[in-house]
Amino acid sequence: MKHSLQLMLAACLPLFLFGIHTISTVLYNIPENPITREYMPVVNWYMEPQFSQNWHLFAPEPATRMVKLWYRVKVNDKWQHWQDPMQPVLEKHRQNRATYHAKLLYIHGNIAKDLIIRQSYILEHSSGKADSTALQMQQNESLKASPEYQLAIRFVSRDIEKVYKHTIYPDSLQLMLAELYPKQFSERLSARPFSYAQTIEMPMEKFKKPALPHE
Amino acid sequence: MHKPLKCQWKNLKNQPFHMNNLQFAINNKLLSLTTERWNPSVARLLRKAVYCWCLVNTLILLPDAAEFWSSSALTPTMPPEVIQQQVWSHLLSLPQFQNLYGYFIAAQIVLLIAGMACIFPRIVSILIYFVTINIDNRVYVILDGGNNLIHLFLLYFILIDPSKNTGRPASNFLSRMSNAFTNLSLLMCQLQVVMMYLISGLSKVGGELWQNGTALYYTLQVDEYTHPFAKDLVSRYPILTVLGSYTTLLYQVMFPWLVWNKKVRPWLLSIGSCIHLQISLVMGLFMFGFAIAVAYLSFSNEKFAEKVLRVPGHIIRFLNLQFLRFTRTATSAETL
Repeated sequence: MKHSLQLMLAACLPLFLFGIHTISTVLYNIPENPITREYMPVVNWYMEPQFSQNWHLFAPEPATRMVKLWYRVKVNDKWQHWQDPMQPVLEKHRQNRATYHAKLLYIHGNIAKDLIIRQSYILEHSSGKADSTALQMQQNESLKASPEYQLAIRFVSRDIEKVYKHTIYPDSLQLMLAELYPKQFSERLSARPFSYAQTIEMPMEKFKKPALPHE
Repeated sequence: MHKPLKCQWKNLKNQPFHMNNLQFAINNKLLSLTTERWNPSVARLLRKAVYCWCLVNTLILLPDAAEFWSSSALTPTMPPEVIQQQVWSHLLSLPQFQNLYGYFIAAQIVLLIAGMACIFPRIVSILIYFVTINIDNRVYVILDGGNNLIHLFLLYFILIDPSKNTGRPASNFLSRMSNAFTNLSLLMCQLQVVMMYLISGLSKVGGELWQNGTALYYTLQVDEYTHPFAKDLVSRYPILTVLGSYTTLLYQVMFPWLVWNKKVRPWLLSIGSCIHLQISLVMGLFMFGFAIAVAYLSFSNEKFAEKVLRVPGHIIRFLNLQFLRFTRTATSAETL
């Protein structure tokens, strides 16, 4: 009797726990429906953060736009060409897939994406000034104070140091966000590089030598 | 003791349905769950392969570790409210620990090697999970679906007993529980892969670009997920785009059902491995593709797993033999 009770407990306890876990995993992952709406608070409490998962891999649609962060510098009162700091990393990644460059691209790409989200947020939420110049100044100040912009400046400043190798320090610096949409399938053989591109120029600012966070 | 149980279960399937038979079958299955380990070699192989993946993943990032984990890195940390929810898994995001990333990485490498050698498997698997989740949470922006799947596997491995001793007499309660957890954890790993494809496939079915067969074209136009050669190829030959998109879609939708058929499984996993090799090498999601290929090992059969597990032993024996030959030749040359 004791033996069979032990057997039942040894089988049923793990089965019960795994049953609960499987049901929670299914409810956590499936699209919203009346059942998930009812149980989602409990399911989320159980699943997050340890069992959190997202399987929308290139779904429902694959990525169809690229967000790039470009910059230009002013040296001896002359603005230089726009530069893409991600390009050298991208080239290295194309030459050899089995390196850390793929993950560096994630970090650099994330800086641009976060900045464009912040910029849109500021544009949507800034108000109170009737004068358009004053409003624009307020937006610029908010953007410059944001951690996303500061991070972008740190990223670009590092690239400037690499490019100019400490020989020249530029006077000014300007960032630009470029949203590039690839050619439509119907125009895939045309010579144009993109089907549509949108750029957002950030305010100009004095170039500061990059400082480490603890300085 | 274990073999007859399986035989009885198989024989039972051919008998006409009877309530007593069903009860007997359930009892048998419950008994088998606790008294034997269903796929011990598969569990060992999967565990070793996942730890090997983690090791390669860390070693790839190691040459530029400061760019990822140091306090001067450009990687943002998680918002404070997220860190406060679970501090133990975000230690490297805390300012006082940020520059200790080197110790975490060193510990992870040592633990992964210990894990592959099956030294103190349960304790080591807990420590591997702890160290890996801390290292990865610091650089959450670089994580992808492959990392997500591997994290879940690392959690399930805590419950898996990978020891070779499969014929242990499961007489006491704890060893019975251990067997049950090992069997169910391996099953959970399989279900997790199925869930991944099910959700991903169903989400894609509703996507317009997947429906009209141009999803692959658009994916390969994005700089981060392409190679100039592949970009050019899909632009010139639309058939490749359409075939590639529909094959991916069909594969993901069919995988959850077909993978349980033992005859179709090898073909299915071979096609999947090709798709994921393409994702690794052409799209450049190098470790993601291999993560899924590693996860496929949870569906392998015992014989295959045993063969693969014997490969390192063969290599070591071969190297030993070569070394002995070399030293013997060198000694005889010296004597001459």
